[in-house]
Amino acid sequence: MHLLIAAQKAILSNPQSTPEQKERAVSELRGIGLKDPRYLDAQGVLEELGLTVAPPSMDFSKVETLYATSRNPAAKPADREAAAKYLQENEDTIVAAYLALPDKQWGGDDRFSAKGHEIGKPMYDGYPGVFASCAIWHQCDRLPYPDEADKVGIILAHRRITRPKARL
Amino acid sequence: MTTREYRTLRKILLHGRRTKHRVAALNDLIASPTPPSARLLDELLRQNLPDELALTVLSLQRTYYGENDAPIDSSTKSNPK
Repeated sequence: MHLLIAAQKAILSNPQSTPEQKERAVSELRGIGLKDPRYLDAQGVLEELGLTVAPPSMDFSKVETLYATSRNPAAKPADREAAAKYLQENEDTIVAAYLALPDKQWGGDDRFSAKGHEIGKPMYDGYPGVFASCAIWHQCDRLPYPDEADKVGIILAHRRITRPKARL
Repeated sequence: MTTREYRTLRKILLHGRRTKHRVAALNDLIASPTPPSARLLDELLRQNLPDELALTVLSLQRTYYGENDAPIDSSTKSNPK
């Protein structure tokens, strides 16, 4: 995804780009799958537009623990509910925080990329944050493969990237 | 970018064997103030590019030329893996 972002960022910063091209570049960036342009700001993509916002800070271990709890059938119902509530109430911040991670921090966790290979989408190698945030964002319990949140996360991420205008 | 440089990048993009070389070529092309031609982007989309490259090329095509708004899907590529 960073290649696509870099490409659109280059168009935004190119003085030879037409206003229409810049407008379409912003549209492409917003269409990557993020429902709020603040997510783009978090990556510094829209610096040229003067829309910079400091990326949110986030305790990722807490998020992942809550995520695991929310999906753990053996957890106490009250704990699952509380975890799910937190994730739902903070989903925007969580997604933004994941997506604000520098690229180098996006590797080292292959829980999702292994499934990515299986599904044939190696493009997501090293981007567990996208999978995790998408899985959280879309509340995979409501979707097919309820026991395979990672797989659903990848599918959703893929669809969201490849069909940016789709409403999943 | 000179015509020769452009041709070199085009050759790597269209016929390069290694993805990292093609990505580097695309990065160079992107960094150039001169946009890639519509024909080159169209040719690239006909290739069996890795997903990230294909999506980027498609996105570039939409941005530069405002066309081909149809979303790409790996299952519809000419030579799916």
